[in-house]
Amino acid sequence: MKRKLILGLGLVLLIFVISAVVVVKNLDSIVENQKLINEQDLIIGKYNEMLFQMKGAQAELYRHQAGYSRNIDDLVNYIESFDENIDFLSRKYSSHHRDIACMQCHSKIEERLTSLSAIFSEIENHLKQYKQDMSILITTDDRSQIQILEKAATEKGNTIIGFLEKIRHAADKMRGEIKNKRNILINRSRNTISIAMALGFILSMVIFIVIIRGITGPVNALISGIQKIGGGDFSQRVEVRTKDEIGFMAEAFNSMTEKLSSIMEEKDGLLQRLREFNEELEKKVKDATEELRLAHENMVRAETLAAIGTLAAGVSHEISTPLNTILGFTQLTISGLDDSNPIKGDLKVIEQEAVRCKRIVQGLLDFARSPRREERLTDMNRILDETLTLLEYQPSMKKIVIKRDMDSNITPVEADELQLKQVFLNIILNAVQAMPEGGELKITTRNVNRGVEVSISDTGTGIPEEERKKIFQPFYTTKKDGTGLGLSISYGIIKEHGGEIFVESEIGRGSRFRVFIPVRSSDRPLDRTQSDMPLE
Amino acid sequence: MNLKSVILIILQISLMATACSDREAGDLIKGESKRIKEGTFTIAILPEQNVFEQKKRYRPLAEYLSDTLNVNVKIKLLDSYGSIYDEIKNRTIDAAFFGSFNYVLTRARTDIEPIARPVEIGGNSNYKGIIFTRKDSGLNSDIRTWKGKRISLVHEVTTAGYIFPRWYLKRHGIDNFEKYFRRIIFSGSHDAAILAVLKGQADIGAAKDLIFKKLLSENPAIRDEIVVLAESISVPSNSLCVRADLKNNIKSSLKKTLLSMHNTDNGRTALAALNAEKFIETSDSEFNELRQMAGDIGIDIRTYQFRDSR
Repeated sequence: MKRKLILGLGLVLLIFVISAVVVVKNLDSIVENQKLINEQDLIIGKYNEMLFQMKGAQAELYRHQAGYSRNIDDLVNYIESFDENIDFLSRKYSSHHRDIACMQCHSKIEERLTSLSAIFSEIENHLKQYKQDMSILITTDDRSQIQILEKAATEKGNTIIGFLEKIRHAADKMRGEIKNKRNILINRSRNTISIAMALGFILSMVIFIVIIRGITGPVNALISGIQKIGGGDFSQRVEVRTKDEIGFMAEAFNSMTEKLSSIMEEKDGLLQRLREFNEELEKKVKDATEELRLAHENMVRAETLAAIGTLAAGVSHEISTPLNTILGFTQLTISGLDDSNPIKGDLKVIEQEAVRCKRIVQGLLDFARSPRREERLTDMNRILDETLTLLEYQPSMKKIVIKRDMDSNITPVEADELQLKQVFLNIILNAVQAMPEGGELKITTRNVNRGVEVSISDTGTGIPEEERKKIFQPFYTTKKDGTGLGLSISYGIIKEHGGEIFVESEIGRGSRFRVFIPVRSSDRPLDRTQSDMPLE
Repeated sequence: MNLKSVILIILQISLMATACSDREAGDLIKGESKRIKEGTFTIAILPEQNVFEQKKRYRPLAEYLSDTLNVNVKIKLLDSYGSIYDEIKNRTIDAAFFGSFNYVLTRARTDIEPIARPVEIGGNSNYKGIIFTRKDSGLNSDIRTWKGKRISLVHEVTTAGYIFPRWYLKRHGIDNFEKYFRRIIFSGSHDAAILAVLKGQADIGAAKDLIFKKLLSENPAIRDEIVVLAESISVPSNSLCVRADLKNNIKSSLKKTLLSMHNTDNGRTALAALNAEKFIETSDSEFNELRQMAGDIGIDIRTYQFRDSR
């Protein structure tokens, strides 16, 4: 822009300088012509002066000759001044010969000057003679000489006057011509100056407009672009192709817009992610709140269950005494009867059922006992058997086929039996509940590296992937009346034993829980007496 | 072309224009201031030769004296040798370059004092009267050949142009000078007298040798046409004389200035116009021989009548 402005200013100045040169040239010519005219005026003035001098000299001479005056000073002065003027004019004309450089234009004047020079030398010759004659005429007293000289002086004087008039006429003419020429030149100069000024003005205006457009066009484009971007349209680009400051600014502006656009896109992405994250968070909070609510409900239920457990323990204790009595008396009665006695069969049934009741009561008592941990070498197969016994009488077990695949050489492990039973009870109950229409429950035990593994699998509905991750969390349950504590407690128990619990499941085909309990170095081979401990 | 150059060019153009107008203005203002002088001192000049020449010769001297004496020194050209006495007597002039016989006459009738006279380049401060003729006139130094001829003289009060030829004829036994010649022309100036012979208006002429020499130098052809027949004794050249009644300080300062002017450049310039190298003092006694010559031809200088004397 700066360069444009300087260029424009330079052009305008150049135009004005050219105009000024043209004007100055014309003025020079006018001045030169005016000088010539002035000179001509001066020369014409001199001619008039000389005419006056010559006529004055003639008059003085007549006065002297007629005896009116003997003073010849004025006469001499007239002639001397005349002489000086002639000298002056001769010099002027000869200087003109040198001055006039353009002979082509001034050839006519030159010719005239040459002829004038001839006239001047004529006048000078006449004057010389005139002076000589006049001097004698003044001083002599010879009458005949006086007569001749008076005549000669008059004639010469008149000749000189004639020449002067001729020259003056020529000078007048020349002055007229020069004046005409000057007037033509002045008119031409006026036109040239007007044209130069007008042209200068128009060109300056054109340059001005072009430059202003060159500046305002890109600026307007820039402003329009800025306004559009201000309105939020980041796709806007400014079309400026100039290589100046505006072009640079537009380029910078476009680059800024591009960056702004990408930043906006990034921001939108971030906002989207934030929104999603927010939604997720909201969902999580909602879930957590729901879980908390359920946990709270479960806690209440757990408390209720615990109270029921305590009540069940009390009731079991109260029932076990009459039950023992029933069993004792039944067994006593049986022992006193013959095998042929038909009552004996019934009594056997009573005994069987009483034993079963006792087991149930014992199970309840065991379950309700305080969770004090008591570890000892435990046979995992036995624990599983006892657990299954507790469940066999459950109505839901009726449609379930139990398959046992237990390693008879399973290594005993140091464990709390009750806790392990609780673990297995929970897993089996879940398996049974997953097969409401019946199915197969498979229990497997085996020795594995540095421990034993118990596998309990069902052919139930299976656990979805998402639920699978949560089943060990406390209070997570999918059952209507579940506490959500069973598997959580189980997980905690196994961890306390240094083991691991795994779950594998397939929707519609069933689930498998694998429980690993490590065998410690101090663990010894199973002691049958210990493993066959009575329930109590 | 950048902005600076453009501005510089414009400045130069305007400076050139200003310089031109300044120079013209300077020319107009330029001029010498002239001192205003009190009083006028008029020196009369005899028509020894062409009056225009006389003016040209004496003007530088007048200017020099004006500047040196701080007085307006004016040159008054006289149309006749005869009028100088009246001018002095009437006090219309203060001084004049007197011809030698003119001095003698005027001195005899009124009180004038000789001051100084120029020494011509070459050292001559005197002149001689000469009698001459054209070579083809058939005249020679034998005065008998002159009889009945036309003689061109200068004026009755000039030594060379009248007294000498008359004295010369008297010495050769001719008393009646006027009757001896068919016609006597008084041309009024020495150069006119010579020219009259040269042009054939007269057969014989008498004039000052200095003027003859001057004409010869200006027109060497004259040497082949004119022959000198007789020469007079030497008499002092035209001397500047002042009225005796002028103040002594004026007279002395004038004399002092004239006698020392060859020591200054301006003085030498003025002297050059007179074809002189300096001024020397002139005394009255130097004219005694001339007085004798006049007496020889019977002229009483106190009563002598001459033309243009009123």
